[in-house]
Amino acid sequence: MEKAESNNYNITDLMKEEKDLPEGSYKLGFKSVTSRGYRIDEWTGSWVATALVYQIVSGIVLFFYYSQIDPYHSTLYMIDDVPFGHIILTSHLYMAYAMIALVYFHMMRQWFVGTYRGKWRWLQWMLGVVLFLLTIFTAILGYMLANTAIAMAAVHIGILFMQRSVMGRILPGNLINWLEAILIGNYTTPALFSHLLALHVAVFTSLMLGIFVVHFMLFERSGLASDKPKKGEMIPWFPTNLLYAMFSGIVLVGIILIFAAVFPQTLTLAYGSLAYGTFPVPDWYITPVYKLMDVAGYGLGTGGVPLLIGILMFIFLLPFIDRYHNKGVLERPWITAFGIFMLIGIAVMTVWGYSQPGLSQTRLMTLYLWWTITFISFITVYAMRFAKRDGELIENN
Amino acid sequence: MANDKNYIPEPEKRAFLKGAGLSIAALMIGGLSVERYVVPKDRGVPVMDNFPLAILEDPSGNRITTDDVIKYAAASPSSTSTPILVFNYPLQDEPNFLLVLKGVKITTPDRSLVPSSGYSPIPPSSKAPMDGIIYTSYGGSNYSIIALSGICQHLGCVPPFLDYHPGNSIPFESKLIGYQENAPNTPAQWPNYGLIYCKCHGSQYNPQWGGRNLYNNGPAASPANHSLPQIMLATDSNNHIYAYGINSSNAVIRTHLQFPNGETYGSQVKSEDLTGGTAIRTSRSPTAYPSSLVTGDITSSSSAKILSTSSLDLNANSSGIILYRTSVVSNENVNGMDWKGSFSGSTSNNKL
Repeated sequence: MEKAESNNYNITDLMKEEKDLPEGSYKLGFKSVTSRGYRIDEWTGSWVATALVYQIVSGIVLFFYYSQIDPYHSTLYMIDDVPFGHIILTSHLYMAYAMIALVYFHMMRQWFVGTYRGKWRWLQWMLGVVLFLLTIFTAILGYMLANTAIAMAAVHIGILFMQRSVMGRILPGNLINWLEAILIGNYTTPALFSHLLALHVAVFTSLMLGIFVVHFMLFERSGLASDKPKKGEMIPWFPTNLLYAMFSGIVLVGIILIFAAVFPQTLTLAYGSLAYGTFPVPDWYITPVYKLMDVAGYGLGTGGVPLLIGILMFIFLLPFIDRYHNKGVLERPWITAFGIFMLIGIAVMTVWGYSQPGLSQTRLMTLYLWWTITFISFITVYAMRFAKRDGELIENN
Repeated sequence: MANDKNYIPEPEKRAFLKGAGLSIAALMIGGLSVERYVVPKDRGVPVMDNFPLAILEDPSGNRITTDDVIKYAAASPSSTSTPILVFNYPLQDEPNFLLVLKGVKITTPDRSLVPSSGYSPIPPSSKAPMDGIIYTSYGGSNYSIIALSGICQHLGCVPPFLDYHPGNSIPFESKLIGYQENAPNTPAQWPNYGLIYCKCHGSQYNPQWGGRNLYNNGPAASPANHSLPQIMLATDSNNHIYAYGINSSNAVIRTHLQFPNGETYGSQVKSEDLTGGTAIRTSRSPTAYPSSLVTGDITSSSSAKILSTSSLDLNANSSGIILYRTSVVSNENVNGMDWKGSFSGSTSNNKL
């Protein structure tokens, strides 16, 4: 007779290093770091993870009160009648903004530091790009859910995009019919918002969560890129790493809650209402893409969409495009210049798109813009390289 | 066993291949049949056989007349904007503008209004939508009532993003793109009585030319590649207004292509007949349909045409033609008339 196993109630044992795994077992590890790893710029990912967790928790609360039958008024109800509803809804919105901003920050940090190569980091980077897209799509779905005028404009644009873009023209009709039915139902209001809600709270969020877990475990497998593990100097993952991540996360949540309390969200014009002069602008994370279409200069089909796909493919394949042997930011001048180009481009497109959304620009204007940004990007990198070399020469002499 | 380098797992390999093949076959068969389990049964099925005959009402349910519309639109002649008038047709959530073009009479097609340069002239016999001369409109000598789809042909933006701007309130963005009030060499290029402008992506339409898309005129192109569809209006002897169809000679409402020969405007417009939506409300008294409708310039009886309902090409059942109702809603109250409301189909009562 074999004895039944006794329960282990010491949760900290889960974090203990296991040395006696049988052959064929696999271990998911949490890596320890040296004290040099505890720098805030090494932890940009923990903020994004915190934002994801906060969105799930606050989203569940909002989910209790949302109604697909009357989306706009149920949102109004959350603001006016649910206890703490206004601050939960506002913080959900602001944390979504913060999450997108932090994803950009997280991505650009890895871009400049060059931590997308080596070990499993290439895969981690590519999954990160997928997570970036999922974050944007989930955000857009969330902003559609309120049934405001701007939300329905986005829905209509999305539907027509499917019908008229590459999808509608190339894929067989049955498949498009099936896809549209899955994504939007039969076009009636309750069906449309049931579908959008399911996509927002279940489909995209689950995908994001699943890929995030793989992204995170790959990081734990590879460890900090800039950290050099040294025997005797490692600080155990539990509880130090966990607490460090949690405390920085709590600071983020605190900042968002303060903003949500000081600047509560106002619901824009309901879909169907008519008004002069009150035109809501799309959310800021959409305006760069929106403006990119305006300044593409050659129309959506021939200019904007291929340009957008090209930029995304470049980012996605960055670990393989970067063939430089060295890792330093100035040792990879073209990659760094492209990074600066991205930074300026996104900032310019966001601000411009927010002030003049949907206003087509001339081709000449477009050319001036892109060449100016390209010039600035490359001149700064090469100027810094020359300055660095001069400094080294002076030092050596 | 497994550590032996010479070991070849033949039976397992075969079983795996069999399993994989079966799975792929099952996926293919299942994939073919899955569509009907996922796609709603009412998808792709027309909501109604033909365009409905709908009487225009105010949000309280009172039938409106041409005089009401003219009075409403003339309410603030000195202001920089006129009240927006919108009604759903042919289905819910498909808004249309009810426009009163001031100082313009468009009952007779006027070729002089169509620019000779910039557009290739298309003979009227052609079905092409760009000839800009197929109109049906109603109203007094100084006003013309016209109904145009409020769904932008570019990417489907609706009012208030797509909006009619009278001549004294042309938006700044539109001027930036190319609208010139007094363009010396192109007198017919830009309408001085205003234009329909879409805030989403800058599409511009000329309401006088039957919602014709003004593309490639300015320094930057208007993105839409179709004209705004025109809603066919008719009036009865009480001057009540009816919508009875969409002028297919002009353009097609997005996703509602009604052509006997199918698609004529390129692969990007799908051929669907009144599918994908919810019907507008029917009349409280279904039998009270008009026996005759008048169309044409109602101020001059000589040019007015009497149309029977059969000439409108509407389907009738045993109890006659079903009369539908659609509410004309506005952004403001005018002259004691309260038409303020919402065109959203999600609210059962269009009163806000």
